[in-house]
Amino acid sequence: MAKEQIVVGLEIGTSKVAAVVGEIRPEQTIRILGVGLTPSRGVRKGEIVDVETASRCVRDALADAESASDVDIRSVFLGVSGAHIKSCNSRGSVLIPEERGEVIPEDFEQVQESARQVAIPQDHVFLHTILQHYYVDGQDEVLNPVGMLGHKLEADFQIIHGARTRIGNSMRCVRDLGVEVTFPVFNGIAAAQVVLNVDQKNAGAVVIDMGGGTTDYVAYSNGAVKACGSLAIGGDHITNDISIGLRIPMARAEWLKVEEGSVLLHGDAAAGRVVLKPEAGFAGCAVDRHMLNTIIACRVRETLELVKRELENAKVLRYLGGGLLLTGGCSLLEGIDELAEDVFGFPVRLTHAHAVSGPASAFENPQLSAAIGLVKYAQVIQPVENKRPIRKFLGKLWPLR
Amino acid sequence: MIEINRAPIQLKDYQVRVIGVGGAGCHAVDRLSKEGLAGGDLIVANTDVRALNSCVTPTRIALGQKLTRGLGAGGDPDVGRAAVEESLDAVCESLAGSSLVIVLAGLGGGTGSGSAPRIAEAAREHGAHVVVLTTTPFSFEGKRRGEQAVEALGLLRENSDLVICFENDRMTSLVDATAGVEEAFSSVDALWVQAVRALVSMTKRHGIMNSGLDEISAALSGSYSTALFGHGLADGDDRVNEALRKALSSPLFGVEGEISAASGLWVYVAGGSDLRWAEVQMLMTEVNRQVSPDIRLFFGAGIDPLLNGAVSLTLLAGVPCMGKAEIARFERRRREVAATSVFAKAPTALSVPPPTVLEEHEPVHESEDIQGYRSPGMVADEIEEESEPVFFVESEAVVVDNSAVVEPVDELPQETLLEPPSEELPLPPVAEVPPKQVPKPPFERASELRRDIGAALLKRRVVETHSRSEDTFSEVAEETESSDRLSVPVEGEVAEAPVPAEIVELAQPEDLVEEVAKPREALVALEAQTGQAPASHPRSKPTVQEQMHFEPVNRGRFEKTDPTMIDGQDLDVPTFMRRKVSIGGESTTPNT
Repeated sequence: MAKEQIVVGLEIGTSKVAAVVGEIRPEQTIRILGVGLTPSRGVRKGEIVDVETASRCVRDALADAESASDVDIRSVFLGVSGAHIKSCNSRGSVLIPEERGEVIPEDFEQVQESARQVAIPQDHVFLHTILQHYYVDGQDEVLNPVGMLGHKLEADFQIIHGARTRIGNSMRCVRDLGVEVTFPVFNGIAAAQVVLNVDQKNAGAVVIDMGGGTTDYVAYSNGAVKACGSLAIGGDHITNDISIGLRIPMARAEWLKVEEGSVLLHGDAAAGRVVLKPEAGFAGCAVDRHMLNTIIACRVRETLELVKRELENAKVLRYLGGGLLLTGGCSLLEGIDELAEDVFGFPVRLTHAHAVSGPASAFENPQLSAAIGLVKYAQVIQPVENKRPIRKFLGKLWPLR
Repeated sequence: MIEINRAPIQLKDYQVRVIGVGGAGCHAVDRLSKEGLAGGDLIVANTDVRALNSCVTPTRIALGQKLTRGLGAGGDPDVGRAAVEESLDAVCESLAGSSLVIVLAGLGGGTGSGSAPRIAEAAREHGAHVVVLTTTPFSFEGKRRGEQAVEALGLLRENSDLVICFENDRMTSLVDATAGVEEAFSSVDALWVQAVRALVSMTKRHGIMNSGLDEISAALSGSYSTALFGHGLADGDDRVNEALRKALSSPLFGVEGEISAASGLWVYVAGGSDLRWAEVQMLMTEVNRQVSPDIRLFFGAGIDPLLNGAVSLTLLAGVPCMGKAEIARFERRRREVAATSVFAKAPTALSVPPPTVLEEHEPVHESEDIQGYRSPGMVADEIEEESEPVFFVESEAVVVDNSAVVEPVDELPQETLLEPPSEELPLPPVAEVPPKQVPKPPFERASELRRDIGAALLKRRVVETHSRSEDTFSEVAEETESSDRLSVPVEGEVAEAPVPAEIVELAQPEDLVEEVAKPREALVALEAQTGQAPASHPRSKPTVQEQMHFEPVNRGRFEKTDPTMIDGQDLDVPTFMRRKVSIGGESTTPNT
């Protein structure tokens, strides 16, 4: 790995389309060269509902990113999300022939194949098969089993899968523009790459990415993905709730959420009123802050409770040495960390992309965590592709080519 | 006067025999005999006597009992071949006089791979048209079995007129990963059975546009391709598209898009008399869109009065799996084999005269000519069973056939018709269906039911009246209670219901209508008479009636999206509304 490599991460979100052009450096760092950001249309709850419109937004974002970075974009790592994305843990096992008696790299492919023999819905495709641990003859936590003597190789995998057509729609949007999709990547996994460092992954950590249309969560334990998923609830729902609750137009509700939104129900943040100026077609009104905050807090609390329940079911909340981190557009809401602490019962931190260099305005924006994460993800799988055959499979098993 | 010769031209008895060879073949044939196959005799042949004994098919042939001692061929095709040589007389005897022999064999093992080619050869020697349905083993069964299957497939191609080969590996895609092994295999069997039914019915059916084995053979470019088989049955407004969708998504119809690689396609559509031209046109446009433009397309259409309202569609496509040189080689070998079988080998132990090469195809074509409109067609299997024996065995002229077909329409329940043919329900052969035992004449039963309901209704009225007078609040509870009891007497347990004897007595069937309609005063009086009526329902504690919300739920911008349902709640509806959180007084005040 002598040369720098340019990688583009593209996230077609519900509220915005973000294209991040990054440079992967040999010393395992990345530098952001440029960002293209356009408001998104034709996307609901993280899924494309209007391919043409969404494709136009993608084109704008890519064009912005190209001019900002002076790079000709040919291929992207595409972030996908939506409630259709599901995950499960699966253990694969292979018997090593008696006469060989030791583990060779070819066994990895087989053990992964065997782990993939889980029942996923017929219309689903495998998105990621992430290695957790190896076991050789029951010996726990083997890091690299090549050359080890044994009769049986087992491995735990986190398997992430999603609906073929919905992922296909996202890819269509990009392909229609003549840009190749290198890999589709689950947004949650991507965001975790830049939000967490190795220590946090080892100590156990949860990343919750509350975006516009979806809330993606990923739980790490012992350095490996233990659980992840996506809820089709996000900032869009907050805006919708405000619009319905306060009987104001959607655009006003969005403005209120972004500019004045808070989940605090006491103190200054919940006192007084916000005045919405009259404009053409809108009479203008004053909104009680307490009321506004109540609406937002209800939704955010519920969403976090749902995530908490999922994480409890996956039994990952017990050892979180790395803490619980909140990112995504919704994490900009005032007081959301306090509310999350109240829900989960332990400290919650707001965070954004780390371990990158470039314009601070880009990586310090929690909205861009997933898009920057895609670039990081590209870096993470790059060396692995050369060394370990097991990850090469990602490409082969992706049937939407 | 001109004499019109109305005597029907005598057809040679067109005898169809289906023989299952080896474990897989026997399973499939056994399934056929359990479900019943009209118009064909079923035979199972196996080296493994234990497996044979578990079959219900009456004609069973134990192959090579001396050689294998009835223990099976042990996965060795040579043993299978030797076994069939030993028992060739028995096989020939069972196949004697057949016009069409359908051989079912799962390839890769000993009996199927070894015996089936020899049996096919024997059948051809005796002048039968031979169609072979085979499966190739799962790839996980190992390379050796795969090789044995390929070898056997080659032999079968030489010794038969048509080989339809299904790949077992394809079937894994159709079986859900969570399905049990039993279920998986039976769904595989079911598909085989479907294909056999299609073939058998095809040789015996009439159509508007004829289509026959020759066309199938052409569509599959002889036997030198992998066959994709799909069948769909649908009714309703969009029946044609629905049937096509079903046929295309049939598990044996290959993976998505494989049809575009097919070199030949045979389409047979059958419908009731309401099958419209526009529908056929639409169907074929749709089919053409799925396939490559230079495909060899064979199309047949038939009318089956029994299909009234439904459309049955059968697709058989051939995807080339052999090069031209290879085909030529096989073709040469086949001709050689055929020639030797005709001129060198005299048929053993059979009275059927040795057929010439040309004549091998004769039975089918001849019968087709005579029957005029006769055409193959796969229709709902159930239908065939009921209708076919009537019109084919007699081999009458077309007119007679039609009348015979039409006749059973009334008797056939509509549901049977609409059932998908893949249904696993074993259908008993028609002859075995016992006359329905109706326990009581319908009238009697109905009046009984009415009486029961009457009694219940009356009781309910009395109970209501009573509770009203006693406690207005308990009314709702009582009402539901009494309506609960309503179901009890309907099931014929009047005696068990805690109703005062007088009331039951009043509610006799003759006057129940009047009784129910009696003015309220009369009922009150009645209640006074019975006195202790309310004793059976003393629950009079006030129940809180729940409020119902009828206002439409507002989902705002998510109105037209799929609801996000978790725990039965639509999460697109604002949380504060679902949780009934008060957001306080006036939400907004006009800006001044």
